[in-house]
Amino acid sequence: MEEKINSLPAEIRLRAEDRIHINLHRQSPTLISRIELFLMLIGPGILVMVADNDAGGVITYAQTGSIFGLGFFIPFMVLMLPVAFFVQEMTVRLGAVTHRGHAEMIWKRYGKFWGSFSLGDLIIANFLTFITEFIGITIGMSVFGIPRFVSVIVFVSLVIAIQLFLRYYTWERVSLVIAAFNLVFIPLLFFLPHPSVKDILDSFATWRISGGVSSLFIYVLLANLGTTIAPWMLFFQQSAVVDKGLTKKDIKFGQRDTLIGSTIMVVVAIAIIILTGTTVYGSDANGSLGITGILQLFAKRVGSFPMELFAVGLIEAGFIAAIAISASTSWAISEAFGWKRSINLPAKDGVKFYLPSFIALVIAASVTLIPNAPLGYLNLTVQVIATIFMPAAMLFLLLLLNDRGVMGNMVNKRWQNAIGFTIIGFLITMNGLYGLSVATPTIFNHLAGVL
Amino acid sequence: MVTEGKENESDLEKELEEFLKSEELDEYDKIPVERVKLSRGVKAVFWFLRIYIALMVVLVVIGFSHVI
Repeated sequence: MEEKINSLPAEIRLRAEDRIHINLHRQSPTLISRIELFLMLIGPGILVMVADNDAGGVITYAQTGSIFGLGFFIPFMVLMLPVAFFVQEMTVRLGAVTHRGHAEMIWKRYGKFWGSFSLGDLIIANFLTFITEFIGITIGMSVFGIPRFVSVIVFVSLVIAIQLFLRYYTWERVSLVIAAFNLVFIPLLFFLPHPSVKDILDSFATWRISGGVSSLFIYVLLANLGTTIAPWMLFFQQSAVVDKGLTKKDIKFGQRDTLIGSTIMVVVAIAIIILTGTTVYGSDANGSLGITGILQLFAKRVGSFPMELFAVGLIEAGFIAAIAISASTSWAISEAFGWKRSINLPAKDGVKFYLPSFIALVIAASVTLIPNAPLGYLNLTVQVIATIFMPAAMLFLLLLLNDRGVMGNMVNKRWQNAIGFTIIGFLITMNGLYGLSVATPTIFNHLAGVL
Repeated sequence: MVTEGKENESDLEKELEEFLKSEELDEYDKIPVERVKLSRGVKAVFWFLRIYIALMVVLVVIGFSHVI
């Protein structure tokens, strides 16, 4: 038996060992075993959603709260919970049924041309997102007096070490521990001097937009959309489901995992909007979009300790997302080119797997060292670009989920397709409105005058 | 005693084979995926999205350049 297991390739052998543990727990009827089984099977869904509250996301939510206060964006984020869940749940089914990552499915099912189309979008979006992670990390570390270049070197090294030296299961557990620090934003709410529960509840009734519909509102709305659903998330979760070895019988666990993750993501996002919406909104400096200015105002209102905790959250957000996006890039490129692909791969066997994402990581991290770059606006821009790439990525996902040759009886139901196409339509419409506002900057002022 | 040991080993091997099969680990990366052609309609949609992405990226760059 040992010989048989040892004869498997390293990455499959490690996966087989994990699956043996899971299988043993599945056979045991005790409550503790069932809880352990659940804990063993969750991971990709929580990770993808918490990593989605990345540094770019945290900065976007902080900017949103400081510009628009407690209004439209609180109920909007609640609405994002089913949207994020719906989109990501499809990747669980697709991964568990096909045992293939998203890039590989597109590449093999629809050919090189369309495969490279989708991979190209992903690589560009991932590279830009890496930049926002390091914007967050360096700003967060600067609160503790750490110079930018030191932060860049330390966190690039940490991300590389975690990818290179941990096998999938350990990598996932370590990542989940790092992800837990994302929750730091929730207790921060208790530091607020006078949080207005009434204003928060009112926002659900009124969906009030401070300053009305404007180019800035459309831009921030798009950025919030872009930080909630992004192309890398599709690629990441599907590949993680495959690398973890989930099969059809694990789909229910994967769905629960995704639901828990979506809930955490939305609760944390709303907490951040409330934090800055209560403390920074209405101050003179809130139009600058700079996270450093927002942090300074936050410290002025609630003290330096809560601001330091906020900075810790920001660092964690960048760190966990850099790990996830690095993995997503590695998986996608290797799937497309048919290289060996698994976090289980030892460094010496996985040079092709690890190297491209490390190169992207190093270059993107270096961008944040450019002096006087408009990092706040750059961050929002990256989120908006994610929404531009998303419709094409989602269309490939919907095509695959409706392909009986691939999914068998696990294809999407009609209502699932209806929701999917509604999301695509909404993304394209909002992007169109943004485009209109760039081409004719005063259009929303005119509209406001007419209405 | 020796025969019993061999029988146990054989049972374990059988069990492992079954496990690898049920978990699809043996052929985890070998499930065939056939190439299909995209219909003209779908191709047209993707070409529209290609142009849309290019156009939107240009607009985002213009918007970004106003801020710098």
